[in-house]
Amino acid sequence: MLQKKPELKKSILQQGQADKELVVVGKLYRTFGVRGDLRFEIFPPNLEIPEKFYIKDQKKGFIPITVESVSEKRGLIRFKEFDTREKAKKITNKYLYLEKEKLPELEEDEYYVYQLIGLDVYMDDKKIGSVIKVDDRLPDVLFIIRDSEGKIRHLPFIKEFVKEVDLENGRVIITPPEGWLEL
Amino acid sequence: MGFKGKWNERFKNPYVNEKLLKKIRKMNETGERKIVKTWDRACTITEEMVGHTIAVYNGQKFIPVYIRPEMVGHKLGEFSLTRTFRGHPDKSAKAVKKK
Repeated sequence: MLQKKPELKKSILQQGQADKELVVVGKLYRTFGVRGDLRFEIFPPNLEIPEKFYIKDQKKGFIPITVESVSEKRGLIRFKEFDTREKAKKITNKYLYLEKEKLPELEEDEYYVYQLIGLDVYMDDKKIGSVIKVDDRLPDVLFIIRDSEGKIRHLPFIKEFVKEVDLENGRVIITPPEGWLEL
Repeated sequence: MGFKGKWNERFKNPYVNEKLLKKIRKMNETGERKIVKTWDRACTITEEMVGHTIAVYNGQKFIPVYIRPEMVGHKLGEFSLTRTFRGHPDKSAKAVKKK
């Protein structure tokens, strides 16, 4: 007798569908105390903590988790489903996901990293590669570009060098300084 | 044993790579804006370098650094990180601003 596979709950989104809608908005770190509190970080500025987040499970896909309490001052969060230290340890170091629509609007010339990754890079109406990473460790953000020959190039994300970011057509127009291509 | 680093600079002039400064001064005269390569990460940023782009070696590659007025007094190596950047998750909602 073949055993029937347990059906996924309705609330669990299908993996393919969820990839289109959900984005990473934060990260959980180590546990704190015995009541299931976790250290956490939220990436987007001015994001109001919603009632529900999603976490990614390898077997079940995206699982919704409900926020029980948040202390932004202390950097602690607790979830209803993981209300003890032992349960909370299962979700340490996981990313928090949220629907794209719930993200706050950004100011002019401000972009989310997921919007920039994958954009085609054009220079003098000629495609030279695409953005593969956005390095934001320093105040001057760097585009990491892979060109058509497979070479990795760096370009500061500043007005002098990045003329236009066209999200609708999925491209970036750059005007790098003389000698950049020879680096 | 002499004093080193910032402590040294209280008594002596800051270290600036002369060859690099010579190239920058030449470009300032002509009004040219071309990337200058350098391996000298310890070179202090001076006011003459503002507005230029200097490609600073990080041990593997040359990282272009656009010099702003706020950077004057710092070392070039501070703006060309040597550790490999592993990247964010693909769908990261971190916000970055074009300066």
